Amino acid sequence: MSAPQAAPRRSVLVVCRTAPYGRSRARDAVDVAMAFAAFDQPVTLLFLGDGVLALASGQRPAPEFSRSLDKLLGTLADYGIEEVHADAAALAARGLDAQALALPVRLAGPVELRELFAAHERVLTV
Amino acid sequence: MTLHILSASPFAGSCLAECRRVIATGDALLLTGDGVYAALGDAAAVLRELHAAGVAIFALAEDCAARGIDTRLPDCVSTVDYVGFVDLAVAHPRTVSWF
Repeated sequence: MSAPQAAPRRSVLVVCRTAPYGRSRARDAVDVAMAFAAFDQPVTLLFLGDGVLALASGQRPAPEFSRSLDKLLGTLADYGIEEVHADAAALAARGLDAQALALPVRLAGPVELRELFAAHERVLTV
Repeated sequence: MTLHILSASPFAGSCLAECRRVIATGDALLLTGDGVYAALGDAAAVLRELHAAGVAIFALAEDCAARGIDTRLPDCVSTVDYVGFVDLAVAHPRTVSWF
């Protein structure tokens, strides 16, 4: 028998589509991205539509909630997740600009959004 | 080539709007569950626009019949059964779920 082999590396795009706190999906998207990274899978995060609200700086959830998502997002680089993209039109529609965000992101317009989907072997919408 | 699977009503949320933002010429869109309501009204206009832009559009026949909209499908929508669903999934290297 051959020795166990590492799982093949498959690029995955994790798409966060919901605002934080009302539901757990935004947190789930970040958690699953970190899990992919922990298993050495190349992962890119995209915040699409209402998902861009997870990027807003200054989040101060009550203590009974889990720690604020913007602080968690600040640790993405520690997990080796360098590719964080945000839907530019969704940010603009919500009155948010780059200065209002908790971390530096790449702004994606219609062309870049399609390129992101085409460039990844797997897409996980959350 | 990507298969987009829309499974929620476009009248209750942003699924179709977000799918529309990223779907590309040569992709396919499959309506399942409450996603088949995209065949109605304002959403059907979006489907026609996508079809004109080179997106193939399918709906799961069983889910259309269950909701009584199988007789109301726009011309740009082709129905498939579960075997057709599997064929679509096999034919596309990537699937994206919108719910």
